Amino acid sequence: MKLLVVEDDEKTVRLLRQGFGENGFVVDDCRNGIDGLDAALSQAYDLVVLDVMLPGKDGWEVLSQLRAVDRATPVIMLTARDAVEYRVKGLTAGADDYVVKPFAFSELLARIHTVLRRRREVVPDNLQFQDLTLDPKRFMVTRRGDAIELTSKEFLLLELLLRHKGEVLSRAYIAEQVWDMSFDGDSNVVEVNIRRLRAKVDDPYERKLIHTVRGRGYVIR
Amino acid sequence: MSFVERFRNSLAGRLTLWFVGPAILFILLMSVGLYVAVLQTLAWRDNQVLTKRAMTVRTLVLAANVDVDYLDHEVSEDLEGPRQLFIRIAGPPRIGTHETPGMPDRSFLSPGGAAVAAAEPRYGVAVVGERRFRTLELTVPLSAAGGGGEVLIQAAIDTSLDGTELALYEELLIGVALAALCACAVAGWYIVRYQLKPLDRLVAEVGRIDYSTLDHRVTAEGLPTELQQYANRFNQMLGRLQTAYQALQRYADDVAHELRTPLNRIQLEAELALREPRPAEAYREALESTLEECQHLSAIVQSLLFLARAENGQARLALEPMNVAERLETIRSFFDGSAADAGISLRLTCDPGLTIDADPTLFQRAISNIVSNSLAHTPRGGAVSVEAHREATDIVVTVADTGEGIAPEHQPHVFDRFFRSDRARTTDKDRVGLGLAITKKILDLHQGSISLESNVGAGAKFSLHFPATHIAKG
Repeated sequence: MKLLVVEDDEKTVRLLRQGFGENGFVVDDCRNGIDGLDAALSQAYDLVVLDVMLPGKDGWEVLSQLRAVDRATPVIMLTARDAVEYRVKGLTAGADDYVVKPFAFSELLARIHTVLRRRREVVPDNLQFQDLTLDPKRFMVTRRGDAIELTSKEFLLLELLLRHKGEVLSRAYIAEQVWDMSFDGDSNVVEVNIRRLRAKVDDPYERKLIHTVRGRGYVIR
Repeated sequence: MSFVERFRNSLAGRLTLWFVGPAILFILLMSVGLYVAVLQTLAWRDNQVLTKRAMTVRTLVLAANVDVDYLDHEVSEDLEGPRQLFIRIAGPPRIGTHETPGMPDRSFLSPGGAAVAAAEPRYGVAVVGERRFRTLELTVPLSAAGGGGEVLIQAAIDTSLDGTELALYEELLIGVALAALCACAVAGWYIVRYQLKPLDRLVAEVGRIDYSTLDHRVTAEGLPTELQQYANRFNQMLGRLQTAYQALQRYADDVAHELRTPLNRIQLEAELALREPRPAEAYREALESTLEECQHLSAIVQSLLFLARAENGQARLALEPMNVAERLETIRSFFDGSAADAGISLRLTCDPGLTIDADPTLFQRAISNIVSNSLAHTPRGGAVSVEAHREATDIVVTVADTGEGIAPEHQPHVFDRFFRSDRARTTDKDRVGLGLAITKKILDLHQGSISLESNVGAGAKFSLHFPATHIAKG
């Protein structure tokens, strides 16, 4: 997997290179919009991570010029704007997703995986990890052959974790994906829902699958 | 800027111009009027004299026995004086022709000669060489008993000297007009300057006000009424400015404080971790704690950014028809777990058919913030009830809890940024205090409103009014 990172901040680029590198991506980077557009047009990338505030040519401009030629390469925007404004601007410009700065690396990674999966359009019939199986079509979860009863939101939560197995998902990302929710209170609400899910999926079994990663979120591994 | 431009742009200059302009016009009109009146008076007086003499002659020639010698005497009576009078009497042979020596040419007076016959006097003006005359002509028919025929009476008055007199008069008028003009301009300029003095004082006073002296007020006493009004309005504006500036300062202080606490924790954590070699587990611990603080910081920044954008009018709504019951059910399902954990019953009552045009994400965010707040302030065993109904054209969502309530003195500040009653501060250290402010802002964006009813010890009830119809935005 080859990524292009267009971002002008030196340190951010270094950290992103490190993070993506450790997650098996090959990374090219550009420090301004003009070079970024050239690179995106001249080479084949699996995905472009594009900052909005760029010298030379801003991210929206790069995106629209890229989209004029190439409709396929997925683009994730790094923006300082929040959701409200993004919806008006970003979706019409043709970005696949966006991450609001300051962002958690795990969230960016989760979004990249989601976009790449969507592009490949491979939806596995059954999501499986170890002895846990989730069948989205029949709304069924089994572990070691035992059927587990879940509420619809618990089911969505488990499905999200399984689709991103091995990836740490932040509370905000989980709240947004499962409940379509963004709010400004404390985020222990997600923690409570994870605990309820664990009570059904993990507690009766010796091998725990859902893990809390302090300061980052939750992961199935 | 040239002097002329400066003059034209200055209030005093303009007032002077507007003051002097009409004055000049009036003086000019008056002078012209006077001049014309003098001309008219002169002509009228001359005509009176001419008429009187012509009538006397007419009486003489119409007498039964015309005394021809007396006619000679009559025409030569006014040989002296600057305004000499000339008379000509031309009749049939028995009367003969009599005229004052120096009488201008007859044909000149009446080009048609005797052919022009009229019983009424005809007035006119004649110029002969250097001399000017005012003239009168009268034809008198004689009775058949007296022998028939007619007599032509002509009279002329020498007005050559009028020109000199009028020229003198003209000079006098022009002189007076010019003098009046200068006097007007100078007096106008000084009067206006003097009357505008309070304005200069006002400008100086206003100029002394800056951020450090926002509590200073302009003195309205002693100013003219119009400027007093201005000064009062200006003082009111200063008051608003002062309030806003203080709010801004307090806000900046709050932001600094809110950011300083997590920043300080990060700094301490990192610094202590690096002070001496530690086991890997200790570093992990420090980094994890740091990350938590960063997330907290990031949440504050995002919330502040949202508020700032909403206030600048940059935030735009993505309105769409939305089922209220479905959205509220999602919120209930989100908080269900934590409510149950906290021993609070979370209830939802909503007509399933209720719909509204709203921004779904923001609608959810607004309600979630309130529900989250209510859950945090409700003790174990209590209840939080969410209810929605239609009220006239509004959709009203109420969130009521059985918590400790909000003290009356805190109620007006509940929607302020970073407002936390002390109790909330101690019960939940992670709470930022921006949730209710954001909810209020979301209601503002929807052109709705939010209200609070609460009694200490008897819970709190928030009512959110979303108007069903919106004025289109952007």
